[in-house]
Amino acid sequence: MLAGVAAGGAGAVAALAGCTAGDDARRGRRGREADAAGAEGTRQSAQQDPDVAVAAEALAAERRLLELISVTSSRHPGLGSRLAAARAGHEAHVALLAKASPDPGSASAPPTPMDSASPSSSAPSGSPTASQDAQVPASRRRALRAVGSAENELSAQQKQHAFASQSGAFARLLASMAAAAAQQAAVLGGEPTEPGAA
Amino acid sequence: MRPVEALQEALAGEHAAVYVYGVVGGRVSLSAEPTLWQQVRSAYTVHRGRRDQLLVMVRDMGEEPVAAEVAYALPNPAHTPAELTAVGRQIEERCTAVYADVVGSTWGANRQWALEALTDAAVRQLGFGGSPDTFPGVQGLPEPSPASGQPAR
Repeated sequence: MLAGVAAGGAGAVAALAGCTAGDDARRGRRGREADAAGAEGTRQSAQQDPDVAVAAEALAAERRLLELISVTSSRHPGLGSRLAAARAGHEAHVALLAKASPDPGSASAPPTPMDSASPSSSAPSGSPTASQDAQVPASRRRALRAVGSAENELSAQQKQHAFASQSGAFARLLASMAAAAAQQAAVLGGEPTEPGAA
Repeated sequence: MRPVEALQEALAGEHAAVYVYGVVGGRVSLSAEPTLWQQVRSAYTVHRGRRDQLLVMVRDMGEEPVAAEVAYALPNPAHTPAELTAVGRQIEERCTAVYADVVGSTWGANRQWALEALTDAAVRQLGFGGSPDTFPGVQGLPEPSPASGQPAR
């Protein structure tokens, strides 16, 4: 059952990545290699696509970043515009990964990525809490840099997920997300430009 | 794409990058454009190192590495600082796409290496006036709608 869902999810990613045919071929080849490798040891059978777990972890990591952007924006409304591009990018990542992930059903993470994008709306469970809000640095500059650091962390995580992905197309997608987070870290991590400094 | 084909494409791209950054480096004035000069110098060093690494990687896979062309066409006249900056940006954008393909076509240590190269190129293009991308190196994916990125105030 899970294998069927997983194949569907990975297929959705491959289709979205626009390289379905090529990746199917690659998946097939690598799948056979994985089977061959599995013969040597105790590797789990191919019934459970390991990319399902990778996709779920990648999705959770993107959602944590969005959550941080939400609490940071609500603590420092003036940073909203500085964080808008990062938020939009991660929302796009979440949308794509959510399609690749099977419905978590009763899993702990709520499958509602858009909740975290609207902190001002009435808060269901999983929305920013007062304690999370208190963890945002009081200084706007430090709050921005904290998001930048989290972007760096996310980039490292998505690189690990890309490394672990069986599907080449999915790895390419996760690698792109890692690069996107690294770009945001570069933009947010530095000192805010002082007006008139140049 | 076979892994070695992806590496050969990356190598071809790095041959071009080394050539172009060599040309650009000769046209940037250290005194007038110290930041750009430093960025070009850094990029030249990084791309040359990656080219050398790719030569080894391709040989390790039992193939003859692709050779560099005698010369490469520049995408613009490459004289003004704005033109030189744009050349760097285009090189890094192309490398971002090439290394995304390498990630998708390899695994293990080669994929790990390509992941770092991809991230480096994506960040490096910001130094040449590029903007953060939603899916660096990957075309044809849905971009966020303009409204979704705007704060609601």
